[in-house]
Amino acid sequence: MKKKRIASKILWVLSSLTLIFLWAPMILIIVFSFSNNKYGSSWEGFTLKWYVKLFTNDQVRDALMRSLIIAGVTVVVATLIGTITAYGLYKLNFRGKQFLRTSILLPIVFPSVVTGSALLVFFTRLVHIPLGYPSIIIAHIVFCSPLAVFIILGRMQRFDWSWEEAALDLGATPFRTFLRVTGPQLLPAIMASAMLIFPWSFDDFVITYFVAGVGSTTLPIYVFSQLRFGATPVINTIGTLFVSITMLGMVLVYFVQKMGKSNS
Amino acid sequence: MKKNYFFNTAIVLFILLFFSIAIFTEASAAGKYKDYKVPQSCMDEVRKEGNKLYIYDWAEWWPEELFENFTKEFGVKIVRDHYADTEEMVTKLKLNPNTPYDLILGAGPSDAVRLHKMKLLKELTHAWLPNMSAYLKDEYKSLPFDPGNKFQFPDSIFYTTYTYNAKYVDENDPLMGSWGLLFEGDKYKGKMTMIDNQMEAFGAALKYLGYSYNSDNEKELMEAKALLMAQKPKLAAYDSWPSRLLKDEDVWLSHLWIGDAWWLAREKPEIKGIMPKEGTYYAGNTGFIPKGSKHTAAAHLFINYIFRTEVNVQLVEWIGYPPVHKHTMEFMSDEMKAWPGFVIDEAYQRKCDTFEMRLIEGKGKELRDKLWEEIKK
Repeated sequence: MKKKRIASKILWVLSSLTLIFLWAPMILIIVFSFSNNKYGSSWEGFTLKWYVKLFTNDQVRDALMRSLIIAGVTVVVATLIGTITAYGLYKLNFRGKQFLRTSILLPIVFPSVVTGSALLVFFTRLVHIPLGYPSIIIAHIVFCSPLAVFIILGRMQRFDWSWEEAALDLGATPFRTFLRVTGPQLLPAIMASAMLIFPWSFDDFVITYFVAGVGSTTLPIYVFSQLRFGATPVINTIGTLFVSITMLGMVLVYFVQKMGKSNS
Repeated sequence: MKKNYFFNTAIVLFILLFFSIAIFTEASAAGKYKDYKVPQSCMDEVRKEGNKLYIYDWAEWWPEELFENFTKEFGVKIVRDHYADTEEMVTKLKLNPNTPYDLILGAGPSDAVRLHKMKLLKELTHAWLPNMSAYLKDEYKSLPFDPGNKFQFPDSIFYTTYTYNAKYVDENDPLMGSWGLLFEGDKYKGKMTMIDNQMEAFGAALKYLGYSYNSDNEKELMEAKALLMAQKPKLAAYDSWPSRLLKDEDVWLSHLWIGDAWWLAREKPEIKGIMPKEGTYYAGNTGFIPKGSKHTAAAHLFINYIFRTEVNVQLVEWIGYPPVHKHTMEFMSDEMKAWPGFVIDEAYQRKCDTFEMRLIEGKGKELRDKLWEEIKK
């Protein structure tokens, strides 16, 4: 009995520590985004000037827009490719399947520096793809699609395939079956991979840095280049906005689900 | 009638005001030094290239207005990307020699020389740089590594020094004003930073020991290494940009470039700069045109623009690094001139070293790389 109490206490301490380490940086960022301190690192009175700066600073805004566009396109294309690949890998049997399946892992296990410089050489020396949006988006798809493949493959392994067989049996075309039966059941996995891919693409610094062309500075590259004079608190305001938007989204989803449940 | 009289007076006053403004603007500021325009051939070329200019430089260093005014005056759109370290920029050009930047700003001579050796830079067309020909100080026109400014130009000078917070660092310390403050004693243990760059770290130790910053002598370099090894446990970090740490008083004493210290001191007066009495290193903040440039004429137009006296004054006032323009110093405020490292007398200058080739090639460079790796381990 006593042992159990100690264990539960330890668990309690550990989980609160974990929560603190998870939340403290985010709360600090939010607090310091309102601080007058030029380096965003201590409290010197309340101000909204960093938010004003965020919306008037073209460079930050442009970098943010670029990152959003790139991440947006990457999410759509990479999940699409990932879904198709996973479906093929699961359903079809062909020579070299095992090899293909393992080799898809490469972009994930390779250090980003290697992938980045290899892609740069590939883009500039072998196939001539203009450095900028095209090269960055292709690079992001390269390292994001494997994620989707493996998440969706994992879901397929726990999948009741009799549904699909039934649909085919009852005369639906394979395409229609996928659209009406298999697809919807895979949807949670597809959404999960999209939600993982978005921050991956949005955050990426190393690979993007290599393949970025002129005038295609993304947000992480911009933040990094600010190091010399200490990144300005404008960065904190971006963090705050993202945290709040995500939280708002989560709260909305929660209420929508709750309403859906009480309705049914 | 009365109304008419009032009207006339107003006109006379207006004309007087107009003239006095005109006269004052003429006499004041940098207007007395002529702005030499680029030849028409350069302008034609700028238009043909499409009125664009791609610049790769530090973020938040030069005043934004300088770039905005250039765009307003010449109708040339500027796109700027930023690097966080010059090594990063050199790597980028090495990996992709056709990176289409038109102008790189804020590097050092060592970067320019290395890139030039790899044939990654374009030559400057001096006929398109009349302001630079007229106003660049003669000593920077005939630097031994690039006589005649074939592939690079300085826009200002940097001195490597150290910066301290007068609240915590004793100004009466006998070692104050010597590199020794960074190396001797335990007083500021855990409250010091050194620049994270082997040339600068070795340079500080070598100067303290009385040797050349560029030394390639094994005995001298070994002595410097011993000094750096003894210093290492006392450092908070090797950090090239300790501005935030200094501002928040997390560190009190930092090896730093003089203009960056000026930036900090403007915000926080207890931060002071000092020129080490043993002498130090100085070199140009260097610009150049990479091989992949597609708007080379626009790059020349911009270089000529920053050597226009008013623009150079605006630039130097902002960045706080000593000018290479012959007349810019005449327009600097007394406050600025009082800042150490801004006005350098000749006797001090003779104690300083500038860039030599042996710093980046040969046995000295190899030994430094090896020793630096051992220090950083």
